[in-house]
Amino acid sequence: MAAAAAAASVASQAQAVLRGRLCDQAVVHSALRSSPDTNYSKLKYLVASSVSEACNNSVLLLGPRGCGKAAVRFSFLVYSSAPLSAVFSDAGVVFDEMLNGMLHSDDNCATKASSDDNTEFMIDMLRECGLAHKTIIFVLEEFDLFAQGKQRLLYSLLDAMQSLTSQAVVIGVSCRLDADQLLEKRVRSRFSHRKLLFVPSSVDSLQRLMEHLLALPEDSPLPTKYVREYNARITSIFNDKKFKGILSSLTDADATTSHILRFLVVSYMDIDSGLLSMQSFMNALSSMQRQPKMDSLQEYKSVQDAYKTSDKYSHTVCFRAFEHLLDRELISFADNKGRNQALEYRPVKLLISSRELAESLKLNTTCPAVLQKLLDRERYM
Amino acid sequence: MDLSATPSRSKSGLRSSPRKSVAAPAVAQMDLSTPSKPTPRRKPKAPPTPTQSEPKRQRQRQRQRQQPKKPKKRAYYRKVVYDGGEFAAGDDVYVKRRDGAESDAEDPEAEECRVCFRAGAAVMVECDVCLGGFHLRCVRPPLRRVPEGDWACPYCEAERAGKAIERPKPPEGKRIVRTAKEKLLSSDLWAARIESLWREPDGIFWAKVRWYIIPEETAAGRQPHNLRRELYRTNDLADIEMETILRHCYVMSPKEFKDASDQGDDVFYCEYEYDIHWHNFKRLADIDDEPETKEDPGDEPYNAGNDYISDSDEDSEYDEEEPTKCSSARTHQSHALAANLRKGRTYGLQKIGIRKIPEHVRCHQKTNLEKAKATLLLATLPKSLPCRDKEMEEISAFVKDAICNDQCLGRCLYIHGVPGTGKTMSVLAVMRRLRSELDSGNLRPYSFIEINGLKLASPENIYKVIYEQLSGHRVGLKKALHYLTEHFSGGTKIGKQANQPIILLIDELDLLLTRNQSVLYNILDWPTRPNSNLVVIGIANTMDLPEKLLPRISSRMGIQRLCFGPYNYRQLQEIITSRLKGIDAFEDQAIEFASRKVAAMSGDARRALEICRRAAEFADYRVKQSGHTSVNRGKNVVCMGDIEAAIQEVFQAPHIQVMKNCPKFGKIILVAMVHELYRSGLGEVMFDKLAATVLSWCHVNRELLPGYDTLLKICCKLGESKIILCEEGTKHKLQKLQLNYARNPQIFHGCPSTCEVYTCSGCTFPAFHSSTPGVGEQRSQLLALDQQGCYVVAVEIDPRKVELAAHNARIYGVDDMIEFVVADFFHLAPSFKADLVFLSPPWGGPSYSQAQVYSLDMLKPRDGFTILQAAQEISPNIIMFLPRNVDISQVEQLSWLSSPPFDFASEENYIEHRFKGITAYFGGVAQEVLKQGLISS
Repeated sequence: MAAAAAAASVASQAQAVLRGRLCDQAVVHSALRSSPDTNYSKLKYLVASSVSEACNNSVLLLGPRGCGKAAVRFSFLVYSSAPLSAVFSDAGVVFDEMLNGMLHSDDNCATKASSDDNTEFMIDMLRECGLAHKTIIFVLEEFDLFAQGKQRLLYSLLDAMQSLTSQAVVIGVSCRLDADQLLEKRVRSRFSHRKLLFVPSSVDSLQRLMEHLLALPEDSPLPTKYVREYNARITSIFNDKKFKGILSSLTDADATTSHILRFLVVSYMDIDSGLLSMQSFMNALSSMQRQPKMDSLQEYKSVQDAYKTSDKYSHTVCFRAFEHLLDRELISFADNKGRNQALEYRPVKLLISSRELAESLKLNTTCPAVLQKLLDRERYM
Repeated sequence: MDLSATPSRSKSGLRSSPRKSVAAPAVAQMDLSTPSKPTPRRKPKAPPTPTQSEPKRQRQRQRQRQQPKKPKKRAYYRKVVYDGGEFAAGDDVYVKRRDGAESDAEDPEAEECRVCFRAGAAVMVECDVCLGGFHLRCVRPPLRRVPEGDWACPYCEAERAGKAIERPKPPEGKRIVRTAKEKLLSSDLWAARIESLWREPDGIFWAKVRWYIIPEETAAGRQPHNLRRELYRTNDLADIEMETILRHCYVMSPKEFKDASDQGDDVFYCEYEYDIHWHNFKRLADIDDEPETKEDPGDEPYNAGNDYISDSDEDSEYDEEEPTKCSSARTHQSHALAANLRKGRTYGLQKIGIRKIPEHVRCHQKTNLEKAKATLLLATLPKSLPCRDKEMEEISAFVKDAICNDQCLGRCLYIHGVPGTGKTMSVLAVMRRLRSELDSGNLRPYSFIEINGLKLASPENIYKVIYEQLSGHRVGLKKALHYLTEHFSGGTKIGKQANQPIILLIDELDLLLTRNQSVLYNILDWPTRPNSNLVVIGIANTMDLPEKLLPRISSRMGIQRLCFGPYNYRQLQEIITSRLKGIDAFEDQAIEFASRKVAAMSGDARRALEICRRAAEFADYRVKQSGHTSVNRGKNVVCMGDIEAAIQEVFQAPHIQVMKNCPKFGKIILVAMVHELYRSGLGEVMFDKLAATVLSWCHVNRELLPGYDTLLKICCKLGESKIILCEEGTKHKLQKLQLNYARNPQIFHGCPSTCEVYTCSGCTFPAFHSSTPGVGEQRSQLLALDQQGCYVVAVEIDPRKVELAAHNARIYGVDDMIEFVVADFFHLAPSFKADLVFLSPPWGGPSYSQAQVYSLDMLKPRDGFTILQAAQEISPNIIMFLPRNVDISQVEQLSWLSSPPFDFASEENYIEHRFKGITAYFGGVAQEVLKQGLISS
């Protein structure tokens, strides 16, 4: 009994360790830092050289969401400030302005209050920092949102970088691939067209990433015997053909790093033995591939029953069901006109396809036969 | 700048001549600078309070009685002759540190040799380590000439090597006399810069000084990269009596120090400012201080003590010139300045500084590539502005004309041109030139106001900014407009220089456009008023801005215009080479390639410089990675490859990369979309339909069926990257989708086999843009009816064209589909087989369009028939691209002439609605084309 409890505690401990690793950007992207040809090292070289040579630079990080743009930038700023300042002694003291396009989509708001004073402040600050050999790094998240309107902020930022005293790096992060085309031409002319493209990783590198993440480190507080057993098991799973199938079906839909990180194998760990099995991978996969709409359809079956065969039910029940459907966004109003009309009289449209509906009805075992028939008849009509 | 080399050179140069300039008494110097002043020389050392004659004092008192309210004030001077030396604000001086210590009397002007302990006129050389002086002949072994570069005396050399060596001792009874420089460096003297000079009411002369500090006295101590003669300027100010000032010294900026020679022993080097409160360092901004001092004309008396001074002028031994503004006078108005002015400072920024000056910025010997990178920076102001001489002439003539004309009729100049063509820079360069003319007195004084439309918070703010620049005060919008209108229409004038012509430069003029265009109207209306003395120079990108405006405005603006055309490749090349002068970092071809490329795209000089800089970065990276730097010269310069890499980065189309790396279902969705769009002929497709297609395909190919929600998620992701345009996801199946890029099946080249099955199953891709301009005139479309697995071999005899075409293909991401062969087509034809030949024979230059009817014999290098025959050997399907004025019957004849006779079809090609050429189809391909009903025969 005690032994079982101990095993369980070891397992939950291991789970905690693994979860910690999955959530820690440093661990996830440590693989990035080692190889010389990654975006990480390119960005690092760019920033390092502009710090050491006291020049201005601007770069865009482009790529779909979840490919590690922000992570690279973040881990770069946080984790590499140590080597950076070691290499460049005191010059590595780096200011970091993080402006997020979501929060500051209005130009004037990005540096608060009236833009006149703030441009002045920015230029002054750039100058003073430049004189003190300090590089300012501006990180503009959701760069495309800064490109709305007159682009005053971008213009004055990039224009200020054309003076000798300023020393700054502007890093724009965007998931729109055409972000640089959004710039007005006078802004674009001032922007140095450096782009780092982040693409979803290949299946091989994703597998390496998983191996890296799911293996327990030797120096963890867990008993070494357990760690060894666990790692051996993991390796055997990784070599299995079935695992390859799981991985490929996972990446067929979405091959970004963040998607992999959400692949919660760890939660499906067998808590008694504390080991991962092929079954846990399968369970995790099916949990990833759930179709929320279909699920919700099954869940709401009873309500839908009420709706479809309304003659048997009272008016209020029917109306409640209708509201539920609206809330779930399975149906929606056809237009925005007639807000003040009563709910019953507004035209609605179905947001799911009939095929989807039919499939989910089939999946639902408790579905009354009448409903099936009704649907079938309608389809063939 | 390589600092390690400079000081030693200037010093040894300085030693090489007998130090006459220092040895001579200071009076001589003063004489040169103020020859006209009848100054009594070499006063005996006396307290500065002069014993003034009694009547004089009475007169002063009388005066004070006449103006009883005026308190006794300090009298400020710009220049004071004191104790035989002339001191002015801005001079650097030695200041005594202790009273009555060693040696105020003893102040040797010449240093003694460390070996023979005599001064003498013989040439001396300075050791760079101990700063001791040595006669050339006293050194063992004796030196013939002053050595170049660093030199260390034998004693220092020996110490460095770890050997114990005894330095020569001075002869008995002789004390080593230290020069002021040595005393300063050993903290026995201070150095300071005079900020202002004044006389207290009691007659004692005072000076406000800014201290210099030696590295040893800073918190960081002497750092290894500090030069021996280095000082820091501090922000510590003090009032001292003139009595304590010893004599002049010369603290120089790095640039002055580098250029200095023969300045004597009292030369120091100063690059940084030291903050005594925060103990940190900051570079001195030598660039920006200059215009500020120039701008104050200084003709306004700082205080009312003006007549008081002039009163005592005749017979006192002090020499007054204009009283100068004290720095405190400026501080109280500094808060009221706007961003456009760049003078206002924000409170609290002085805290920014660095604890220790990093070593890498000082002692770094730059390689050629690094130098090139620095000089290619956009921020670097080039020494000369090539290629815009004509335009600058014109601007300068315009401005001069406007100023010099006595009646300064208001005028307006509109400058337009695409970004990066040097508009603003040229105007500013002209203004700088005029400024220097003004300083030398050849020009009427004027004021210059520079405003950037994009830096204004709103267009109306321009009034505020202009008013502020004229008057120095900040007022509200309406008030400013009111005052300005008054000013320009001849009413109350603003500011001190009321009658000076005003030159107003408005950059990004189009930003001032408001709905009723009142701002532009007002600004452009002022110059037309009589006596407005206003000249407006407007800069914008669009050529037709005046035409877009209301007629009453455009009539005021559109008269005088100046166009800055995009640079052509020769100009860009010249711009780059002029910047890189003296730095051997680029291959000539590389520069040419970059400038040609940019000239073809935009003619933007900024872009060309950025590309070159990026290429230099690539080269630098490559050199640093390989580790060995100076192995062979060829590797350490920027070559074609680097430029190409840079260009590719700039012009790369990221969407192709991303699509290639899409997850499988993403690719299938894209293919399905192309299919649906093609089938329906519409511009957009509903998600519902798309999902049905994808599912049916997946079903047929026994793929795992993705759920609707998964598909929707993928669609949203693609929409996020703007590969497709889609509505928001809440619309579910009613979501409409559009492709954002041209349908280009090449994208799917690398995708799994299932996808290829789909593309074959029913949909034919209409066209594949042969994106290889450079191989002949391939602007035409290559009609490839069955695209899948299509492989293109391009043949061209000119290797340069092939290089360009290959590069273009890479940009479009089709490089793995096309093989480029440098060969003669006629040699290759017999040994080559293909499904389809696309011929684009040279038309013989642009003269083809002059011919009334283009005959096939005019094709180069051989006539049409020979070419067709050769092509026939490769494939029975031939497409030929011919000029629009070709004799079509002659082309048709070709098809009969060959055996067996060919099927024939022709098509007229329009590029941007202009009839460009004719595509002739021969053989099987013609049949296909006819069958499809695309064209008639």
